Amino acid sequence: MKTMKLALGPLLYYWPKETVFGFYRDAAGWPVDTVYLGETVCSRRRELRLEDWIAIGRDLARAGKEVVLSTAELIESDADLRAMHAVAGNGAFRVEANDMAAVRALAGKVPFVAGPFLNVYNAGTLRLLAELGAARWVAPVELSREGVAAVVAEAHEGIETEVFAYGRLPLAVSARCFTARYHNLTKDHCEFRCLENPEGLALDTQEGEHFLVLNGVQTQSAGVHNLLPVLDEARAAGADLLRLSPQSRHMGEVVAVFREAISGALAPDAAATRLAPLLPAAACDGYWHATAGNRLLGAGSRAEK
Amino acid sequence: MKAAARRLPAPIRAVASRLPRMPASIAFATGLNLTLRRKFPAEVMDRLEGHTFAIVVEDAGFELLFRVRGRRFVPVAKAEEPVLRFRAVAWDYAALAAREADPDTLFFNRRLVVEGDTEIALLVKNTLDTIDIPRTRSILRRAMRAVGPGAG
Amino acid sequence: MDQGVASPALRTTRMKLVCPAGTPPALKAAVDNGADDVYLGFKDETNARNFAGLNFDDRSLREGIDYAHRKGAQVLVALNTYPQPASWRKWQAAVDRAAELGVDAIIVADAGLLAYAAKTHPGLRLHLSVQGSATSHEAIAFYHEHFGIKRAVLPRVLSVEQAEKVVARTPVEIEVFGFGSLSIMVEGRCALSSYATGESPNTHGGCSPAKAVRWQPTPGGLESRLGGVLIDRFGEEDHPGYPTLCRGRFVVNGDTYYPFEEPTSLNTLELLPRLQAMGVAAIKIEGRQRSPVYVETVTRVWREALDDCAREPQRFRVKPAWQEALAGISEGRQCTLGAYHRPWK
Repeated sequence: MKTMKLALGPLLYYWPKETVFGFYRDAAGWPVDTVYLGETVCSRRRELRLEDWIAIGRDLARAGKEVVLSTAELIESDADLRAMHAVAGNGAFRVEANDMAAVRALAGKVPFVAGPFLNVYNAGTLRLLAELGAARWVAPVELSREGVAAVVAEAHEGIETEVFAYGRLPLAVSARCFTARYHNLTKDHCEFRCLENPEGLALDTQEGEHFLVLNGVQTQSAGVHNLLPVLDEARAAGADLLRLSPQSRHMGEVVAVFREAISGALAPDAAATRLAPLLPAAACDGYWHATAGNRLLGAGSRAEK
Repeated sequence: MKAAARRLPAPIRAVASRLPRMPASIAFATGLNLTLRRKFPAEVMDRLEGHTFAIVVEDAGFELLFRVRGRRFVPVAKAEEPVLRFRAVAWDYAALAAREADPDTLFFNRRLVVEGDTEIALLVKNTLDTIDIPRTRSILRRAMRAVGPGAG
Repeated sequence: MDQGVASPALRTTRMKLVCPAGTPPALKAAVDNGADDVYLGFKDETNARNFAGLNFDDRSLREGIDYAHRKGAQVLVALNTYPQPASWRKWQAAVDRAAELGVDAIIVADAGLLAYAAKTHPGLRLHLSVQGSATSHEAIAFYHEHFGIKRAVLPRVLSVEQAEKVVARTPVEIEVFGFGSLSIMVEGRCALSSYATGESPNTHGGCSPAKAVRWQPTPGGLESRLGGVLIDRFGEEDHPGYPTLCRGRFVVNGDTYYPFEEPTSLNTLELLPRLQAMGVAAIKIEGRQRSPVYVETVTRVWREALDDCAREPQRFRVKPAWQEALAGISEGRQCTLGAYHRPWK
C-alpha cells in the first residue's frame, strides 16, 4: 500500500514577518513533503508580499519540498482579484485554487490543486475540476470518512486526494472581521490586531466551554481536529496526503509524530502519547466520523447516527 | 421592550380562570378534530402520535391539554409533561389562527413561548402554515375586528 | 480581465421581486401580492431550508406552478445543497422532476449538479445559488462559461461599490438580497452548524437542525442550545433570534457579547434606486421558513417600493409605513444594510 505524504497547510494566522520566515526556515528541516504558502484569510494582512512567499518557497523547494501557493479563501475587491491573478500566474510554483475565479484563471493552463473551499462533495464536481486541470483535491473539512472514500471511488485515476488531518478547523469566512469587532474597530481600520494573537482569539460559551476561535474574518474550531488515531482509515479512504495546519508552537514535533506514525516507526499508542502535550487545545474528530465536528470519537469508533 | 399584547379584560379573565379545565380541553380537541384533523397529512399525525400538547392561555389563566391518538385529537385531564407547551394570550392565539400575526415575530417578541421538542414545534408550525382555512380565518378576523383594539 | 459596462437598456430595466415560499399558502401570498418570481424547495435535503413540514411535493408544486403561471409569476426551485456520492441520484432526480414539472428555473450551488442539469436539460434555465459563493464577476464567469447560468445570486458580503462592479462586468443577471435574516458568514462557506450538530446547509440543507435545538427556561433565563452548545441566555427583556451560532452571545477574554452579529434583519429599501441604476436584475427576499403572514407583508411592501422606484427613481423615498410593516415581522429589533454599507465589516 502506498505511503501517505504529509503537507503543511497554509498559515492561517497573522504573524510578524520575522516569525513567519523563522517558521518556514524550520519547516525546511521537517519531514513534510509539501508546503502550502500564502495569505489565504485576509487581504489586509501584508507582513509578507507575494515575493516574500516566493522567496520562502524557493528555499523550501531547495530543501526538497513540493511548494504550492494558495489563493485567498474570499475574493471581494478588484485588489483581491489582482492578488489572486498574481498568485495564479506566479510561474514558479503550483497553485491551490480556493474559489472558482481562481479555478477559471488556472483552468486549461497548468495543473492545480482544488482547495478545501471549493466545496467538492461529489465525484461529478471533482470530475469537472479534473478535466480543467486539477491534479489534486483537498476534501472539505465536513466530509466524513465515508464521504471521502465514496468520492475517491468514483474519481479520476491519478488525481490525488488530500485530507485535513490536524489543526483547528477553518469553519467559516465572513466579509466582517470579528477580531476588529472584538476591539471595537472596523475592518478598514483594524490596526492589524490579529498580530496580537498568534493563534487567534479564543471564544467560549457563557458556561465556559471552549468553542471557537476568532481569526480575523475566519472562524475556526476551538478543538484541534486530529486524525492521528485513524491513520489507517484515512489511508483506506484514499488519502494520498494529510494536511497539517500550522500552529505557533511545537509544529515540527507534530509533523515528526505523524511521520513516524505513518512509517510505522511509532506504534499508535505511543504516537498518541507523544502528540497529546503538543496539542494547543482539546482534540476533536467528529467530522471524520460523520457527526458533530466538535466531538471526539477516536480510533475504532462509529458515530451513532 | 416587550411589545404590548392585548390581554383579556379582567372580568373575563376572572371567570375564565375558574372554568374547569377538562370541558375546555374536550371542546378544544373536538374543535381541532373538526377543523384540522383532515387537513393534517397522515404522516404528520403519525409523527405526533402519542404525544401530549399543552396550550396555555396566559390571560385566561388556563391550560388546554390534548394528545394525538389514532390520528385524532383527544382531550387529556392529567397534567402529564407535554412534548410541547405553548404560552400566549388569547388575542395572539386568535391572531395566529386568523393569519393576522406571524408566529416567528411573536416568538422574537416573547409573546409566544414554546417549550419542549423544537423539531415537533417546527413541524406543527409549518403544517399549520400549509393549511388553508379561509372561512375560519375570515370569521376570526371579523370577530377580532368586532372585539376591536379596545380589548385590554 | 474582461471589462465592460452594462448596456443603458439594462439600467432602466425594472428589477424583479423574488419572494420565498415554504408552503402553498405562502406561494399564494407571494403571487397575490406582486412577486415576479417565487422560489421554493422540495421536501428533502436537496434545498437549504430543509425543515420538518416545510416545502413542496410534486402535487403541491404542480398546483403552485399553475397558480403562479396563471397570474404571470415564475417559479424557481432551489436545489442548492451539495450532494454526496451516496445521495447523488436523489439530487439528479430532483433536477429531472423540476424540469418535468415545468419550473421556470432551478437554483443550484454544486458545480457537478450544474453540469448534470446543463447537459441533461439544455432548455432548463439555471440560476447560481448564493450557496455557490461566487463573489466576483470572474467566479460568475466560470459558471456562465461552463453551464450557461442566466442569473447569479450574490453572497451577502459585498459592499454596494463592489456589487456594482460585479454587475457591470458580467452578462449574467445579478440577484441581490434585499430583506430578511442576515447571513453573517459567506453562504456556502459556513460549517458552524455542523461543528455543533453534524449537519450544515452544505451537507444537510439546513443551519441549526431543529432536532439539535433546545429552548429551555431556567432560573437564569431562557436558554437556547444547539447540539448541547449554549448559544445564548435571554433575560425577560431580551429578544431571542433564530437559534443559529452566528447570533449567539459568547465570551472572549471575559467580555460577553455578540462576537458575530446581534439578531438583526437585512433591509436595503433605501438602496433601491442605487441598485436599480447599477443594473441589478432582481431583489431577493429571504424567508422560506417564515409564515404566509410574513410573505404577504414583505411582498406587499417591496412590490410597492419597487414600483415607486421604477416609476420615479429620483424621487424615491422610503415610506415610514413600509419600515413599520417590515419592523413588525423582522428578526431582532433593528435593521441593517449589512455588508452593503462598508463600516459594517
